[in-house]
Amino acid sequence: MKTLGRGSLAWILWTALGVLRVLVIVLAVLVTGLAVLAALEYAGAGRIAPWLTIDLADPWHVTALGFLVTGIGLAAIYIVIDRLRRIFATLSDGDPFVPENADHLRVIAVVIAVFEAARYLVGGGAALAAWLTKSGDVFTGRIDLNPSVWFAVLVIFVLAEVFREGARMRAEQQLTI
Amino acid sequence: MPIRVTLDRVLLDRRMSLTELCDRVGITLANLSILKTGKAKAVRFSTLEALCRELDCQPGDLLRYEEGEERKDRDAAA
Repeated sequence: MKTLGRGSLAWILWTALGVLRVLVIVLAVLVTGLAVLAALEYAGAGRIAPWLTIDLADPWHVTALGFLVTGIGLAAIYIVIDRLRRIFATLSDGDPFVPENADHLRVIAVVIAVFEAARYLVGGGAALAAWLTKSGDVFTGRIDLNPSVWFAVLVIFVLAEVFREGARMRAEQQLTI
Repeated sequence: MPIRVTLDRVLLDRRMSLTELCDRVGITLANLSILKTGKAKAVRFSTLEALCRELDCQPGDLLRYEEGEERKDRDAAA
């Protein structure tokens, strides 16, 4: 398999990222539309979309929290895809060892870490709310500790520093006569 | 950088232009300019050999260590 150019692994990944980006944008539009429909139903407009399976007996803030978490998740995925595409752009230019790529990798690691931490907060918060209100059938929450995600965050941070050093070495090599 | 490149002085003594030198040693004018203006981070032995051969000089004629510059650079970096 070729390294670069049409048919290479890099080209396949670039194409896949492009498709994923479009998918995330479509999903974001869909989720926004569903949130608006749900808000209207909660506001008393009645069942606008019968296929929208929202239990209006649930407190509105529970449904809103669900949409918020979904929205944040989609935003996080979009940021990661965007940064990966920027890294791939430098690969196509034949110069991936630039300091900016180290920054892109750091942003990816931070976004994944923040999203995972937010997941814990929401899950823990919901569990706490269920315990406080003693109404477990409305609020259900749990914290899924996933060490592999944190390990991936650590790996990406290390790779970012490797890229930074690689960029420094490349700059030095360019100034070696 | 405490290592100073004195290529311009040697070129003047030999009455040779940078363009003529780059044709003789096979290094681009851009790279020789980087060397001459002190922006280079390192010099390969092969480059030093080619320069000394064409300019009929020793490496010490092209490179100079200035201790005071090291302290100035260190203070600037800090």
